[in-house]
Amino acid sequence: MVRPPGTNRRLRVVGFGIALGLAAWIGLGLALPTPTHGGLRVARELLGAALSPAFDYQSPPPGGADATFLARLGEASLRTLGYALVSMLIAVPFGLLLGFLASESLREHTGTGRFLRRSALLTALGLRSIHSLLWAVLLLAAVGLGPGTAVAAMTLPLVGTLAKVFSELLDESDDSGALGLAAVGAAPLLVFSLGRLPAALPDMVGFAFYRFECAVRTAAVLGFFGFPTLGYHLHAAFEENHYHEVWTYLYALIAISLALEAWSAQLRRRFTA
Amino acid sequence: MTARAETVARLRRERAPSWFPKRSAIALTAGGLASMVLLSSGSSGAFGTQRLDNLWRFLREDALPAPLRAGDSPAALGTWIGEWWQNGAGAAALSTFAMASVAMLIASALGALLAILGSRELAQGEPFVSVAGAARPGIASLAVRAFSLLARAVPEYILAYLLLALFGANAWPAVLALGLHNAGILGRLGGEVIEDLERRPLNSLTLGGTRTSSLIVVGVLPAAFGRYLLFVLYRFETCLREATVLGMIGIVSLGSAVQEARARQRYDELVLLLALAGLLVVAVDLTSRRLRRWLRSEPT
Repeated sequence: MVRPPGTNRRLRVVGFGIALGLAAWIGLGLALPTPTHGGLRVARELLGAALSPAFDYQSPPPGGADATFLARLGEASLRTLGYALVSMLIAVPFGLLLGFLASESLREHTGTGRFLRRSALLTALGLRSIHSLLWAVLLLAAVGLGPGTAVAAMTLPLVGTLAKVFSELLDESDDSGALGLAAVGAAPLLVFSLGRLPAALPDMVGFAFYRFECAVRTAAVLGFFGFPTLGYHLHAAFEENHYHEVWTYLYALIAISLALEAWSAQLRRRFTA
Repeated sequence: MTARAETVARLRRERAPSWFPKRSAIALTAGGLASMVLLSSGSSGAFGTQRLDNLWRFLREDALPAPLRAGDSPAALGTWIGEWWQNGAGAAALSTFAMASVAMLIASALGALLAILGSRELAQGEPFVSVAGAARPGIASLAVRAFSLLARAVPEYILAYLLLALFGANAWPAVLALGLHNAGILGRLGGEVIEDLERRPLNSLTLGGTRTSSLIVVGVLPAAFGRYLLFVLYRFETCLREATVLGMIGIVSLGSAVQEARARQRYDELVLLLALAGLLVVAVDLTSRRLRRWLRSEPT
């Protein structure tokens, strides 16, 4: 069998990866996943409720409900989407700016300093390295509960991720347009923005939308920390053993995810036409 | 108009109208602005002065390491950090890395399986023979793709939370949650790699009479291997970040240490733990980049 070029290194990486994984498996003291007795019972109840999600409260909430179950579901869903949207709205401009500064291509065409590029890149990596939920823990301790805390917790790492990927997409983009503009004597900034940027734009939009989908999931999980999103109600329902309600919230989350993936597929089709 | 200007004008007219992306962008921006207004008009102002005072006080007092607050020497700071490390922060970092590794081992194997079983091309009677993208999905491949989708759509944290009830407080809920979620993602990415493969060598194998199972081993796997491996490395970075956080449900890792520090209100240790988590991610990030570049630059 003829091997395609590059196989040797890849096989070595795979071998190393498998060895690492197995060593970690043994090191953690894991054998095989074994459910506990109580766990099996819960699992059976949970799976049994899968096909019948609740459309009303399973038992009257303490202190009386101030909204119907479906209204609460709708509000939580809208809040989840809202947090994600606001985070994206704030993060995209900053991510673009930081991404431009961190990219090699800007430096190529406009001659900005290497120190500026390095510090922009490090800022992006630093912001991105701390997970939204960890930022949430920090901000909760510092500032307290509130929509601003949730949005800040999601926006900070998002700016870093967007900046890093935008800069990589710009660097890998086609530079023929930019070289042509430079050849006719366009100003450096124009060479970059009209020559380089449009080439990378479709991929950038695609990635930004993908991060939006991820942001919706993160916003839902923030509910576990006290914010009023889907995760909050899911957590509460599970703690009270209202497994039908749990499935309602799960299905709502899955439905939103599917809708966003379909939207993203449509966008990609139109954009890369 | 010159001939060139005419050509440009004609090309512009012939370009497919792009109303869908534009309207999507308008809808999303409008939704975002509306959410901003609605959220900040709630009972608690998002960025009121009270909160900024809190933040300032946090940065100046709570988050400062204990020795610095008491006015001790820098040497005391070093000892404090050393003790903090030995008291479990080091072990937590190690176990976080280990959980991510096991999860990725499971995810890459399962993901490859899902990609192959769910591939529309491979489900055809004669794979890779028809025009690219014309393959109709079979029932089995649809079911597999649906499973991949479900695994992707449920956030890892929620999956781990549910599995915690099933498996108890050990590393398995986090590892399985990460493994399944990433298997779903890798299954989809792997599927795209298979669909995008060069069709000529593969369809000549098919037309020559190779069975699908042999085709997979001899044709698909070697060709798809490189790109799939790059995807696995990319997912490992994200997996590590998630593993840090999943510890907050109760398995010993950086996340559980974070939770403990928060409960005991040791905000200085909290900040240090977050810095450690960040450092871990950056280290893996840089290593993964270098590894990817090394793989791409293999001399032919």
